[in-house]
Amino acid sequence: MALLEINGVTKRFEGLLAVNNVDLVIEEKQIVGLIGPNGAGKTTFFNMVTGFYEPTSGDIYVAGKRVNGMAPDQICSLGVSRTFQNIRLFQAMTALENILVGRHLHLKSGFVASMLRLPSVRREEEQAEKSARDLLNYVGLRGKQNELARNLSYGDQRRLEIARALATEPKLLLLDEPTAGMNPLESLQMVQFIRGLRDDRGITILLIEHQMRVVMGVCEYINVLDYGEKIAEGTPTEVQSNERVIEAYLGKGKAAGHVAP
Amino acid sequence: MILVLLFPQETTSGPQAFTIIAIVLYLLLGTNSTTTNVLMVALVLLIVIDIREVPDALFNSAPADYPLEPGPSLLLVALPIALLVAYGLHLWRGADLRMLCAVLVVATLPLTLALGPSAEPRTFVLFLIAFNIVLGLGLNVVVGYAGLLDLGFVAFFALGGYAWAIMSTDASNAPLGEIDAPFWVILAVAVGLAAVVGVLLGLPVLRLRGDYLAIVTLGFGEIIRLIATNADGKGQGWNLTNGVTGVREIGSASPFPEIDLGLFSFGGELVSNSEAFWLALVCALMVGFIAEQLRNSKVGRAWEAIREDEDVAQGMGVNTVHYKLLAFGLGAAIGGLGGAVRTSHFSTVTPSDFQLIISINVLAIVIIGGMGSVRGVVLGAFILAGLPEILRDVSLRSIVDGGLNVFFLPEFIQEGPIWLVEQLPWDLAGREGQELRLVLFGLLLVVMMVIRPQGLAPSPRRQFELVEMVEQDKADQPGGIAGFSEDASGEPPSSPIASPQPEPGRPGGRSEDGE
Repeated sequence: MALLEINGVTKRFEGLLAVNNVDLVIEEKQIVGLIGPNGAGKTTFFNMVTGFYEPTSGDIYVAGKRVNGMAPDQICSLGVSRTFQNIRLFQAMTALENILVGRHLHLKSGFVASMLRLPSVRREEEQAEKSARDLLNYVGLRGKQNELARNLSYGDQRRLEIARALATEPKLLLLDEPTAGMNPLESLQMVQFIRGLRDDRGITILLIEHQMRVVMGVCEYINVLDYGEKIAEGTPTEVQSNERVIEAYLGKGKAAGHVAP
Repeated sequence: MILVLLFPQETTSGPQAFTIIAIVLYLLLGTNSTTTNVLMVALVLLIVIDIREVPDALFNSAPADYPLEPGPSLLLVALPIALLVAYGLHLWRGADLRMLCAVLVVATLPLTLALGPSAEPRTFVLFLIAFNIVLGLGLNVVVGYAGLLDLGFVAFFALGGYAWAIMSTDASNAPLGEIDAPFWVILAVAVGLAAVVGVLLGLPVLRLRGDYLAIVTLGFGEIIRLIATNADGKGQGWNLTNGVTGVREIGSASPFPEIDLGLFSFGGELVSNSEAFWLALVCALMVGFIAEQLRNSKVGRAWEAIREDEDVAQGMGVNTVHYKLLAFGLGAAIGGLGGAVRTSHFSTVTPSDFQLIISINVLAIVIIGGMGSVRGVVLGAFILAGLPEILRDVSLRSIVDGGLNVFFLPEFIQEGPIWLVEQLPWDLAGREGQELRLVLFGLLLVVMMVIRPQGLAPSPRRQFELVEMVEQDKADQPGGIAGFSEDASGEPPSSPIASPQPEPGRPGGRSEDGE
């Protein structure tokens, strides 16, 4: 059974057809890319998978369970987590607290127990803090647990956002432009990091990316969206030579020029 | 503040008024530079050991009608010592002296009030402060923790108040007949009722944010007041509240039966100001404890995440509906508790006790103290509930007088400003100059918000945050933008799809393996 299966999903905002009848299947432990020009509907697509938007039509199945209309927190509890294109950390919270919010679903203390800070709560908090620190170390933010999220450097904020997503213990991780604004070296590190997530932690990854070097470097399978429709899919080599893809990115004339010589 | 409360009315004059202003200004403006701190401690000591007051207070034997009350003289010794200890701690351990001062003022105040002649009126001010702390903590859960702007908090205060009034007044006054329930039952009803209504209010406004939420809650506060005004049994419906007449002769709280220990006894009905104060103080402590524990737990973090970014919080698995309702419910329950405590001592309740201004005042407590901080709420309540009462004794003349007196100026120099003050067309100089009270109060609030927008004692993080922001801005100016432009230019300007094959040795090496 595929981890994520999407059948003919469509999202319409009033007159705008943002995503039109897209199918997608992701098997476990795949790294899949979602590319397309700006405004192609990639982020809208992410928002539907994670429950931020409800699809106008079509079905989304996570590990065989239909999740249409579920709230984001319910979908999160099924093991889907994400990062955001424009980093959305809890700015006024520390790095550690950001991750602890990600741990939320795995903390079982009740309201009354927390209110009285029973020993069980204290133990759980200690454990949560320890695992949060481990995650910080894992993403390379060792020693920055008490920094406010907003004071971290841009790259660190990206890393922290991924750490927060990892804290929810996802099976499927959706990364929205993880290398946006990074220099080539940082992008390279990110590619290795993403591969590590799959190899070490067995996390399936779906990523939106604009840097082709990254997409081609890390993805095993690529889906291309344009104007809300899926225009191509396949392995990186297949996609690269696909006429429609080149056309979508470069326009018709350019594409012709590219083919001619 | 403390000193005005300390001395009986007759001697309350310039120096004390000056001290209030000095302490408040210090809390507002004080930096952590050693010079300022030394100056401040010196100033406080100077005023405490005011030349005119000390010999009287220290060496005078207590008046005959207050045989067991050491009163001011005790404090005159204790407070300077405490301040010196605080200063020592500051030098030795680098403790924040400003905070220590504030803590001291707050901590010693209850002590001073139980002692000394004419303690009762002063304890009433403390009672006001204590139940305002409870209210502030309640609203702080909603506004400070969860970031839900609630302008109708008075509704829950009213519910708690009426619950208490209806269930503990005698038959002639009680709209529902004499119930005379035990303390704990009434308390549970007051708190439970407010909590349920809080959740019910929360349900329809779940989707609203910011301004819209504020307006709806504002309306809700008015609705409860109007219900209290109109549920008088005249015309349609039952009599629940006696309408505008209100409920009178409400019983006091008696949490446990009286225990007689020979020399003194406690328990039974808490009638006096100080007994009511202790009740309110215990409630404030309990609520403060709960609020603080929750803030550092999963629940508090969920609230904070909602405040920061509701959508993302939900994306990270926080059930925002649940936690927003929880915040509304808990805040309302605490508001109900505050209402019950207030009513147990005020002995009357009318709808006009629950005007919009209460909501605003409680919100001001939270904001001026510093949102999301228990310590801030305590300070805020002292200033917003205590200061107007304390300033009753302050007139312009007393400030001029006191301000000059501190510097031991000869009398003829002091006469000048006083003469000037007396030439003013309004009577601001004399005892009648009560108008000045609210003018001063308002001015202080304005000054406070301009100087310290984050509040007096913001939660450590927020304070940190504001300081950091300033520092970061400075640091960012050269580096930050350069870093970004470097990112942009560092990327080769090749079109994305035109360089299909990853260069050997580059990150993409693995793409072949994956196929």
